[in-house]
Amino acid sequence: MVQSRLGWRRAQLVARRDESPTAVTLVLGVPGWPGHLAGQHVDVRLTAADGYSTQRSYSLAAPDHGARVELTVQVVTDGEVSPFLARDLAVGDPVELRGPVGGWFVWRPGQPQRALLLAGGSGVVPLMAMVRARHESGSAAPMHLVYSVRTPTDVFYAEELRQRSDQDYGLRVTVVHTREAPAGAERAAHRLDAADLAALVWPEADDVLTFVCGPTAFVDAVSDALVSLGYDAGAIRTERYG
Amino acid sequence: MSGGRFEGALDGNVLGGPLGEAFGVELTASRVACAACTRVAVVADLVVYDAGPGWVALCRGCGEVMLRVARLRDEVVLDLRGTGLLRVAV
Repeated sequence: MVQSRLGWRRAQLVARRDESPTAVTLVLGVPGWPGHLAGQHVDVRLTAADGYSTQRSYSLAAPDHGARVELTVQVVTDGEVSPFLARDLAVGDPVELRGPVGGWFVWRPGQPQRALLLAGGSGVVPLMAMVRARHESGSAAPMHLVYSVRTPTDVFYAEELRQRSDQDYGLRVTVVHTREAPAGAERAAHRLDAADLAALVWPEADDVLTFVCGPTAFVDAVSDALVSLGYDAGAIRTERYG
Repeated sequence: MSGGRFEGALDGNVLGGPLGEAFGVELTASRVACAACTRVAVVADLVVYDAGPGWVALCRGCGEVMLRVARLRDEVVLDLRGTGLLRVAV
């Protein structure tokens, strides 16, 4: 797929929404935005008055809605970019943005195959774009989101995920907790492991579109577990954020 | 699989922006071979570290450097000495 050269565009913060005590969704207006696919990301560049500039990649949280794009930013303690974006960027402020980026970690609404989405923490962001794209396109492809979080308060998009899994036929959402489970939960808090996955994922792995996104340790552990369950390592699409 | 060998690393998805800026082609889904061990993977699968003004990408199989990319003023500078073969769908 050949596209025109990627350049930097000037965007403006239109709205912000808290997703958790440490994460916020930024709605950006981007004139001339060419559209994107669920799973793609953008690079965000900040430039200081003295010319020093730095950039980070953030996943697009929503499907293509024209000139408005949404990013969900998790604050990284001691981070250089995320605390500024999440706390200091005000509605109306400009920011530079390059994208959409990526052609590997993408889900297309026309794909009829079953899709297995595995999220660790804020790795849910590009996978939420897939859940939303499935909803908006009316896709009937079976989709299962397995979302691993530390505690119940860390869940992004909690209400919308409940709604989607209640209303969207063929969509299943499983939230698992690693540090603190909700009161009355059957599963004690622990890291998502091969035994969990064996009980959760489709056993016949052929033809399942598999996406894993999260911290490197999560992605590596989950990918290894999936391979032990018969999934093809080369067919697992992964995105790691360190 | 790495089993945590590359703890804290990013992956080749992050190279999509700088490579797209240089070539105008989406490269993260392209297959690339390691010049050292010949392992073939998609660019998105490479082990990537943020290295100041750019990024360094390693083979997930043998850990050798496959490519380095940096943005220096108005140029994207690429060092591909560890890349054996890159297949780009057209």
